[in-house]
Amino acid sequence: MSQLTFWILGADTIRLRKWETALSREGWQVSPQTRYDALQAHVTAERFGIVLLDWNVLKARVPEGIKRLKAASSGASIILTSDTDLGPDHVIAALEAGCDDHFHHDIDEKLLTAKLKAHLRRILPSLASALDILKSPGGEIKLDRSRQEAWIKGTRTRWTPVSGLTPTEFHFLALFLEQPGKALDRAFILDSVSKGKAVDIRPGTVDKHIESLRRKLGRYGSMICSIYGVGYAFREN
Amino acid sequence: MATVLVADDDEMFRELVTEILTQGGYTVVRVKDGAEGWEALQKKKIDVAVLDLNMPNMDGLELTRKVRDDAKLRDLPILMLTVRSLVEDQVSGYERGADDYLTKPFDSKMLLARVKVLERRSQLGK
Repeated sequence: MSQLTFWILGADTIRLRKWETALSREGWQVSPQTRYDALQAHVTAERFGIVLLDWNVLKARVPEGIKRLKAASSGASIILTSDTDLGPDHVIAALEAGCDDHFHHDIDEKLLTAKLKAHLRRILPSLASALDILKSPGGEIKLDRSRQEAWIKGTRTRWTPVSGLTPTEFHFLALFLEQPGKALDRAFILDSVSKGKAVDIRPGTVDKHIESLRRKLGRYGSMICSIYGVGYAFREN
Repeated sequence: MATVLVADDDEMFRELVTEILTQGGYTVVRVKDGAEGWEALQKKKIDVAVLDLNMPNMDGLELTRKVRDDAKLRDLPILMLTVRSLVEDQVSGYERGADDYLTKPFDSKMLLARVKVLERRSQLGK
């Protein structure tokens, strides 16, 4: 297995594309499918994976379809997706047939990825851990997204917690560690933090947050370099 | 027979969840806050935990975090049960280690089905 795959089976190609984009952004391998038979062939060929199964494709045959997928690979995690008007009895029938979870099609993208990470934690602990922990290329800084904590290498190579990080500063640090070396402009940084939620942050305050983050990172703060006319980049000395 | 830990400071909900799970064939250990929940987890073999988010002494998120940090308990399946339904709250719950999330008021059959899923998934991992 080179990488775990997320198979998305759905009838709505616009939603397929939207979810494919959202999951690909997390660095996950995504395979949109519109036919159940093709999906089953993929699941049979690979040992692990997460299937997002749209109720609208199979409808009343969903429980049977889930049983067939589970028989093909017990390592596949199956999540039923549906419109909001699907009755609880259908969801319960799917769960009893072997389905692992359910959510509605209008799910918030952040909640979607958080839910999927919870599944990853369960089915592939080592991979989930790798997804939660980010380290700088030189290994001086690391953070754990599930714990919302960051550390820097202290004396005698011991990890020292970075204290007092605000959620925004933590988010900025994660952004830099995800894309080391890359120049990130202020608009991108601002957009990434305000997307999908009400956050009181203005373009000018990005600089203030960065300054504060640099201070809290101590001797490693200078790794967040100012790029004139653009924004910032994480660069090791 | 699997044992479920039910932690909720609201006595009415605690009894309701206990009744649903007992009728579903589970043995239930009831506690009224996270601190009692943590104590129960040290003493008894628990297969699934159903935790309220807001509790005195230690809330559901803090208890989840302690469980995930504990070498013996870290794989315990956790269902968060709460009156909160904000996306941010749910995301936060998942990021801190919850496996599933159900908002009060809930369908009793749905609660039972989701606890069964968590129990089944946890058995697969063993």
